[in-house]
Amino acid sequence: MLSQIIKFIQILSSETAPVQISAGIALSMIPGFSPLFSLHNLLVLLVLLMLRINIAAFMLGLAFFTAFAYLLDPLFHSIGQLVLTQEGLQNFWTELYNSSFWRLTGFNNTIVMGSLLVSLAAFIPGLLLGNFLINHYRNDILVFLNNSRIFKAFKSSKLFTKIIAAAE
Amino acid sequence: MKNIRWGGLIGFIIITAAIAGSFLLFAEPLARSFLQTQLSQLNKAKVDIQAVDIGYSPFSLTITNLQATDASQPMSNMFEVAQVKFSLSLSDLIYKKFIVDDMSLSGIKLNTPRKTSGTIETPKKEKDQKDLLNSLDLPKIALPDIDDILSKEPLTSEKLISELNLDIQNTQKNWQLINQDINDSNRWAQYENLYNTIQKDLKGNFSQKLQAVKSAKKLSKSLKAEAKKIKQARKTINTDISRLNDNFKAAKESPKEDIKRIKEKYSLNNLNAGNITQLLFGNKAAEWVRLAQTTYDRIKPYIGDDDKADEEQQEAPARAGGKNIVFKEYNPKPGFYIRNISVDAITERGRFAGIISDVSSNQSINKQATRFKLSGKDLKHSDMEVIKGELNYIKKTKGFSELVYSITRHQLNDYPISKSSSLPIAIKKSLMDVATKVRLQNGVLAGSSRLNFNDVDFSTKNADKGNNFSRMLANSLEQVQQFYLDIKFSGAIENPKLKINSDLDKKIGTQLKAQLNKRKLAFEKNLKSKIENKIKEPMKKLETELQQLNKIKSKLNAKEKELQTRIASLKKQIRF
Repeated sequence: MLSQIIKFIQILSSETAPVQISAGIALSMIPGFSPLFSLHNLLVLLVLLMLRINIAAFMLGLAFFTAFAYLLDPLFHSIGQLVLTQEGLQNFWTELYNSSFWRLTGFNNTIVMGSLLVSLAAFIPGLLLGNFLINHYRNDILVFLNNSRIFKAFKSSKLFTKIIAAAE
Repeated sequence: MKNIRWGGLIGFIIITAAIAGSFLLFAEPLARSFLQTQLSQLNKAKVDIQAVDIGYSPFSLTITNLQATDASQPMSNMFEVAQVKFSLSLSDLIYKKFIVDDMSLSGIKLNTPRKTSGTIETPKKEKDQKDLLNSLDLPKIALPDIDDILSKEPLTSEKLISELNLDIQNTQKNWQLINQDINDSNRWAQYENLYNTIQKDLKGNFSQKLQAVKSAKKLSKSLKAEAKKIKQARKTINTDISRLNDNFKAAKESPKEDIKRIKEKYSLNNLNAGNITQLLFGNKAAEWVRLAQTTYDRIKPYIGDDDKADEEQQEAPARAGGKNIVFKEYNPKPGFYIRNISVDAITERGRFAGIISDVSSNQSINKQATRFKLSGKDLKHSDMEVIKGELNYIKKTKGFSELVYSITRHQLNDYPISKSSSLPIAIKKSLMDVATKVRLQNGVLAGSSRLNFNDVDFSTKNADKGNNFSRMLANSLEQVQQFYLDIKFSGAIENPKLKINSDLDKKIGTQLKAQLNKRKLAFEKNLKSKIENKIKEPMKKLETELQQLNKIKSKLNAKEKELQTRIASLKKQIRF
């Protein structure tokens, strides 16, 4: 976990485009919140591998959101149930329910539906927020740290070398 | 396009293929493990599968050497199937529905031994079910010891004799007093003297004659008083004699009352052979019913009356995977459905083959009742054996299970009826026909079974060691060559009532009753004889005493007669 965090800090500090990192984190919300072996996660995997999305950021995000998901399960359940039992959507859901493909997705499960909706809804805001935070980190925080004597001393210390070695 | 990693697509394909490859590689062991776990839970004892082969075109499963442990006997298998083969609808499987068109079960063997215990949970200790065959509560028809009875039972006859004896003695005393009074010699001497004086005076002068008349009147009055006294005494004696004679008769008849009372007290009147059929086959029939109950319990989970089987996790808590919302299905199917199962079983009795159709977890969906018919082929001990039935739960409230079983000319050899130590009974050999029809609806059993036994040869070892009844029963059974049993089932499946009728009661019962009656009559005769012997002497004494009383009565009669003569003579003389 520590190595993941150090790698993530390294990525944050690297030349990698901020959108690649924030997309990795935002995308990780989908498999992180929803049950891992859901069919839609295969699509997430495809997107992750085909687009230039930072995989380390995705992995870190996945670990974080998976742990967080347990706390949010009741919320996902409530949202999923609300959507799946909407009177106006019953015909639509019934059509999907009678399709083998959609049944494979497990869309009629309240947590699958709730978590997917929440993660999709949070995707764009997450992406934008991530971009903003990374840019702010690189332009302000990282510049400040690099000019700081304490950080310079820390970077030249043996402890820093050991941490980097451990992360690699 | 610079944001697209084409290498990533290849990576995705590789990962997906790896996942699919892993599934294919491990599908069979996974399926084996899954089936073993699920079937074991259903069977409540281990179900072992040697191998599972999956075919993908069409999607099919072949299970090799399936062994299902008998939950009640973990060291033996309830059944063993050499091969189970069926093709599955993959599209239905996506809908989590196990739909099979044709399934074949071949090489079925029943009750095979296991090398290891197949228990998966601590077997529940069955309620104290004693081995019914080891117990045979034969009627206790031993007659009590007469001397013992007579030593402790107060006899009415003895009491009556004693009372009569006392009465006779008192009567005798009274009579002696009366007799003494009547025969008072002084008084009678006075009467004699007076009479002689009257006779003498009558021949004398006038005053003497006058005196004689006066004396005669006095004498006549006295004699009349005496006559009245004698008459009264005779009346008393007659009453006494009548009473004593009546009591004597009662004492003489009293042994009959004693015998009747003793018979009632020692329940000799209730001694009978009882319902022989119930006695002999009651436990056996109960054992058959218990076997049927066990079989029913085993197949119950597979009977398609379980709505829950088709319900998805409606009420599962959110943290345990959410809740699957169920929508209307355009083409509803039960969660578990097998259209046809062809069965081929090899048992100790021969080969059984047949079809089980429409096995469903919810018959109200597929609208077909589960039906089965298995027929025996190349049977070792029977000409024909057929078992067929219907499990109809299309309409839940009217759901029923029906079983029809028949067997023709089944050879029974050393078939135990009772293993009781007091009377082990077995059918050494017989030809048996069975026709059974049982229906179970709403937990209530109704049905009947007719069993015809021909060319019967009963074996009754150790009958001599048993009680009298064992010996009598063994003797009677040896005479029976054919009989039938009619068993009617009714009541709740958990506690069914059995009513057994048979001509055995007539055949054995008549002989047994005759033997029993003979023994009872001999006992009564013996008892009567002993009671009569016991009262013989006192009765003889009583008779003698009564005769003595009768003599007194005769004397009294003679005395009265004599007195009447005297009075008549006196009256005649006084007229002059």
